[in-house]
Amino acid sequence: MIFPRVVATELIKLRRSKVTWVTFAVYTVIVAIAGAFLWMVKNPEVAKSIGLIGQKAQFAFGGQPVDWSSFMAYIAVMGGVGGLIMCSVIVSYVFGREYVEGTAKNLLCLPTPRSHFVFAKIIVSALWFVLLNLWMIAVSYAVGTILGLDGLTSAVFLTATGQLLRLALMSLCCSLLVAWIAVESRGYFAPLGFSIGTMALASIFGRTGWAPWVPWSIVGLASGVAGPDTGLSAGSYIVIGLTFLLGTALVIRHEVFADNKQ
Amino acid sequence: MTGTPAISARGLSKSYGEVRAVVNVDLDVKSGEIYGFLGRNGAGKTTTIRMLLGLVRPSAGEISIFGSTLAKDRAGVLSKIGSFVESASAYPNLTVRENLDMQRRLTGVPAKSVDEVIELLRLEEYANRRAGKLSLGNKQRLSLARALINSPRLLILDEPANGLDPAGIIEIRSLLRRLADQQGVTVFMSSHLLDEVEHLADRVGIVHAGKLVEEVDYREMRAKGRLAIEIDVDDIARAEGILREDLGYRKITRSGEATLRVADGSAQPAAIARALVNGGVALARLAPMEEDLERHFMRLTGGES
Repeated sequence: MIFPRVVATELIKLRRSKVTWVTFAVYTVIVAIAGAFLWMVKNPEVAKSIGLIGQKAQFAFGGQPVDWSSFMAYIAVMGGVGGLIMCSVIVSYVFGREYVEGTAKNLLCLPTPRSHFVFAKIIVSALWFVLLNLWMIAVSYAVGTILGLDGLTSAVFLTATGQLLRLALMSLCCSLLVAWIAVESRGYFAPLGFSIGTMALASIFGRTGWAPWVPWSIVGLASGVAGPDTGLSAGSYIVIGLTFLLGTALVIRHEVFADNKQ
Repeated sequence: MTGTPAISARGLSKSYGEVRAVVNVDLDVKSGEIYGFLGRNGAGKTTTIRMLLGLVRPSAGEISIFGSTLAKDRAGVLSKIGSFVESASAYPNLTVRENLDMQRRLTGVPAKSVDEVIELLRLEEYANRRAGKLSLGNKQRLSLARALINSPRLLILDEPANGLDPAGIIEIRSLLRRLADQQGVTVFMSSHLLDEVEHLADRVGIVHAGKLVEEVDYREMRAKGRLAIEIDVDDIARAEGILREDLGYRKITRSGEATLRVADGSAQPAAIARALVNGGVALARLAPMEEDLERHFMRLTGGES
């Protein structure tokens, strides 16, 4: 079976990559910042003494009680919205690096079916992103424990983990279009530019009532950034599924049929 | 060097919009020979190689590798080929050994193949160094090692001497010669370096502006020590007619107002002299030319002043 070997080689490529570790560091910092905000909310006199940052911290938690439940809900929102960008970074790197490093032409003239490389990269990107989200949960636990938060229950953690993994899956579905831009443009800049553009679109559609039908807005709604009433229906999830299929089909079309002029 | 040709291409063409990169190229590369594909930068060498490897789809024409085609048996055809195209490339954050191990896994060959090619390409000293830290010459060696790891029957190499120092060039040349002579590996190599091709290739295809302008059997050329016979005559039209019609020569060009160049391999100076004199043409000069590949190439590609 050649496919498991292709997946193994994709994992080897990541193991020695600095980008892998940088993404884990970024998520660690994100949780640490959330923890710092929470600490400021718990200590309003300190927040007041440091001015703007303290006010932002108050705003971020919106006057909710400072406990495990509000902390993990905040982490889920950050993981959902930030996760869209992070997932785009991951697929841009996994798919774009073959063109940036000049190795795509080596892969494409191997006897291995070209679609194997596409599916292996999707699997490895998903694995990377899921591990990143689990890492976020683990770091959140450490930060929450250090802060001495009240209300720790397994239900809080399971809910947050389930929410983050659900958002991770939705982000991955949306990011296959980013992977297509990466292989078409043979680099990192265009897919990351596209990703930033989709964030702007998500924000615009979020104010027009079309949000439940726009893939990137759907992830935002599902994260709870607009409140607990997401307004998502089965149709929204079908849109996410179609986005995944479209992105995958476009990447395969490029890798299998397009001329390689690298 | 008998049996099914390693590469057979007919009417191979590739256009990018208005740009005709390769135009109606026919190629026949015999099994076990070293074929030099010589041309200037932008002549169409790399595009042809990309078409042979299935990286680029031909606009027209057919390619057969060891009697099969990529359309019919992609995996079967590509498993017989080792290649590298254009610049040497590897994963910069992986070591030489890890890069080769990945290639080994993807081509399904045993683990010992990694050590074998490391030794063959003299990369032992760099085996645990990251590819991103290698010199250009050692990156080129790594690319060659990658191409050789599955013991291919056909090597398709795009500018294999790029980045190598003189000792490295000689070493790689010797390796390719050995692979062809001892293991019957066919080598199809592109180059713009005349010296490299002259020393290594059995046959040379000269490509210019996307067209294969001439194929030269370099073994024959080396054996004869000449490529052409130059003749100065008083009546060039009459002389050309005699050479074509009476002697049946085909490779005749006018290289001056009164000078003809006969490049047919079978041309004999005595026979030419006899035929022209009998035909009433005054012969001022008849000289076998020891034309080297450089002069030949420059003449064919319009570089001669």
